[in-house]
Amino acid sequence: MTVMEFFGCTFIAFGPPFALFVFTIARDPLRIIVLIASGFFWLLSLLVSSILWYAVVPLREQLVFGLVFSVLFQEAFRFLFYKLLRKADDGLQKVSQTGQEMHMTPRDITNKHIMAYVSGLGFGILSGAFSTVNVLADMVGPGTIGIYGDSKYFFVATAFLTLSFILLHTFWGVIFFNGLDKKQYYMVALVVGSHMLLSCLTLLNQRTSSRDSPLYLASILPAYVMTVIMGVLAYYIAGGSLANVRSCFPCGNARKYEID
Amino acid sequence: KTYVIVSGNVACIRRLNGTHQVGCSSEINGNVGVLHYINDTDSLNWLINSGPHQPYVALLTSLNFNRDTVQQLRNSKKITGIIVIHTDDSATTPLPDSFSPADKCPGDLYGLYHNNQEYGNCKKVTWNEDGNGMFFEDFEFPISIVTNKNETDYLINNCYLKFNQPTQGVPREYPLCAVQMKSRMAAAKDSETCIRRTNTPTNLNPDKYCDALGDKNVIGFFKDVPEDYKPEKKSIILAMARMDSYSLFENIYPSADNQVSGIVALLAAAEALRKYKDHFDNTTKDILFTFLNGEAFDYIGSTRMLYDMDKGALPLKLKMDHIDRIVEVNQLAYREGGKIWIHADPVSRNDPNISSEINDMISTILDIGKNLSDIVGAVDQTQPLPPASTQKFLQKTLVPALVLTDHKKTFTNKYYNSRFDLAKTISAMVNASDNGYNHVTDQASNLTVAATLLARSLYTLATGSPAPEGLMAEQQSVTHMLYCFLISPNCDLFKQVIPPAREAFDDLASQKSPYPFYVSVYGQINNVTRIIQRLLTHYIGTVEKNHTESCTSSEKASLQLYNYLWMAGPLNSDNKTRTVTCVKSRVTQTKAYSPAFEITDYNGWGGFQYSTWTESSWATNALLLRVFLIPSKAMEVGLLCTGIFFILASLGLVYFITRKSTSLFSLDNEIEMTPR
Repeated sequence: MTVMEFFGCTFIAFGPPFALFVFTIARDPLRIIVLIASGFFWLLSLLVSSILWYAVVPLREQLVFGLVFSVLFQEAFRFLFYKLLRKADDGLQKVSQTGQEMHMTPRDITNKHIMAYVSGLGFGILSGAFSTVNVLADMVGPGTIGIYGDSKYFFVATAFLTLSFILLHTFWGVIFFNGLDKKQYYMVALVVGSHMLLSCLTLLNQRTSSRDSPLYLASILPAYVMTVIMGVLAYYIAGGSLANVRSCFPCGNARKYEID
Repeated sequence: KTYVIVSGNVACIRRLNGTHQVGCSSEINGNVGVLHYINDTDSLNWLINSGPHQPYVALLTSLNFNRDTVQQLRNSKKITGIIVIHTDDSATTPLPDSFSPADKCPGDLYGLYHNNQEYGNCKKVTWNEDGNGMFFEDFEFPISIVTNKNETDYLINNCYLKFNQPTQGVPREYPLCAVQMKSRMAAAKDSETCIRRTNTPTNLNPDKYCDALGDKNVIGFFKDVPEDYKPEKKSIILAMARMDSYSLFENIYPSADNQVSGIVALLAAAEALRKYKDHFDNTTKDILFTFLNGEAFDYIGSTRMLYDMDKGALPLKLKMDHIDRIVEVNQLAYREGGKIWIHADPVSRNDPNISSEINDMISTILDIGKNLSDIVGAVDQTQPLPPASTQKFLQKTLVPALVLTDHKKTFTNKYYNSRFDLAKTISAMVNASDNGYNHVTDQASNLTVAATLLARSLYTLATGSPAPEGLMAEQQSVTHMLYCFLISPNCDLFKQVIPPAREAFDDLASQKSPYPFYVSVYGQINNVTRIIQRLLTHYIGTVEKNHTESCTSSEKASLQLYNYLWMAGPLNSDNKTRTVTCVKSRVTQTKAYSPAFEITDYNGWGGFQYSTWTESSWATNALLLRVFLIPSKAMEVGLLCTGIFFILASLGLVYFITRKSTSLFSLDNEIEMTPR
């Protein structure tokens, strides 16, 4: 009855993004729109990568080729979305001012990191969805993976890797947009470079002729290390600091009028 | 990546009669069980006594798939399905000594001797000694066979040996290899209930739960007669054979001994008599060649024929008093002592007229047999008739009747109504590279002698004169018929008699295995019936050269005196094209459909008057067998709990972060603390 595996892996992979969505995005229609739009841009990048893969017939079996170009296309579309979002700033300002609704604060526009975060999350959710949905669908039946010799940890590894990629896309969104805003191009290069590195590490998940069992840890551990690093970096960029974190915890200093 | 589908699987299906359901069915979503291969008593006992990973699916060989083993497995309550290996290769599928899923006294409840104290219930002879009755059991789990050798090897090697085989009696750890068997049958309880449910539509897309078994009988009058012919009383000899049998598994109905051997002998006899048709005139009797269908299921065809006789629905308004005597051909392949045995009914011998006629018939046939290497003998007079359609006719009216079979007392066929009643079991198959279409096997030559015996006996009984020396069955025809019926229908003989249409030819060419000898569901095309009708037309009919307007391509039931059928015809000298022929004959079909399903508000479902058999229907994708691994419960639960933990923890964490977001994220270009 691997329906249990199905729910377990779904919750692992999509639990944190779901939580992020519920508490930070769901209440604000503008953020939802930007989320969906950035997801759509990710889908476009997938479309372009698949056209390229389909067109180059002799290299179809070589995963590396498709993978490298897919990463490049994803980052290219992230850049395009950045351009779109900045151009739309003026329009969004007008929309939020005429509304006078409580949830449409100009803060969403003036604090550039919020939209960067939302767009990164959108990218991440769509990318996670497309990489795991077919695996999840296979899990619903009575069997689990392995009869062809695959490792039994395939489902677990997929779930954890998906989760780390979703979070990574979120953080990369913040860093990328900030780098372009402040013209700190080394930040952009950092994002692209780390994305490429991690994706290539996941190639180690394949079973090759020389090695029959995949090395899941060789891709999962670096992925989580990278997630933490990127997370900290994004936090600093967004205005956080160690002092802020420490100020949250001694609950004696908690302000009574906590306004969000 | 997760599932391996086994495509060569054939399931045991469910059938119902007036009071019971028999056969097998699975749960709606299939039965999943850990595969365990049983090839000796050790593995069987391990499963029953020590196997901890139930439910299991037992993989049995042809030798240990018997009632005893199955009963042990059922009693252990640890299995959820059975798979049996049944390939063409005799190394993986050795022939057991005997296997017959029929009961020990077939057809007794509906037969002549039901309620007869002396002859009923097999008191004198247990006809089917080897019968284990498995066909009439109601299994609560699915049973399937796997016919492809590669797939059975996969199941044994890549699934069982690799993952499941206990090491020195110690069970293996998860993940284990499991099998899902899906064969969900829609019908339940009994025929009356499921017909009622089918006829009570509950929505705009009504479901059909079961279908009545039935098809057509094929009958053919031999004599050439004028247009105004009306038969006189006691002027027709009935020469009968049955056309169907059953087995435990769907579409595996080889029926070599029961009853292809009888069909072939009767058809060959018909062909032999054809040359002497002009000896038959208005002073002689007529012969009615009758091939009955559905007889294995409580005599569907013969009961219907008698019912139609009462209603006057048969051609020439045929009635029992037109029938002078009956000669039935039964199983003929495993001749006991090399002979064919004549059985007669002791009850009808109470009438002295009939008794003396029976004795005349027997002595006639014995005399003919003496000239044919002494191939025939008569059984004890006190022995009742074996299961035969004759019993139903005698139930109506007692007439002199004989049944010719290959057994003197109990069946010599150890595989009665089973999947092992094959060509190679009756020695009608060789491993010749040309597939043996023209190769005369021992069985073919012996059956030819039997057919000659039959032809000469019918001649004498009809005309009253001794049979001419030249009246002999053709060995070629018998060989060809055995090949076409038992090995492959894509043969020249069948190609000659099918309709001249392209689709008929392509249909024949695409047949990979022999036609199944099963009555099947009424309304569905039964290839055996059609081909036998065409063969009979070909053998006793006349080629019509001039008035071909009345010639039709498809076989129908008709009440006319003569019927005309188009046939593809014999090969021309160029060996490529055929000359289309129109054949005129008195061959036609009659319904073989139990009156129980036609009579409105029939309430004899629990009685023994009419057959009540139906076959369950099933959804188009309801038959499935696939192999995969299953994880341990610990792994599944662990994964689920981890997932739940993740989602709850992340919900909490994100909530905390959003609450404290102003203090966590302090930005230099923050405008103000906007009240929200």
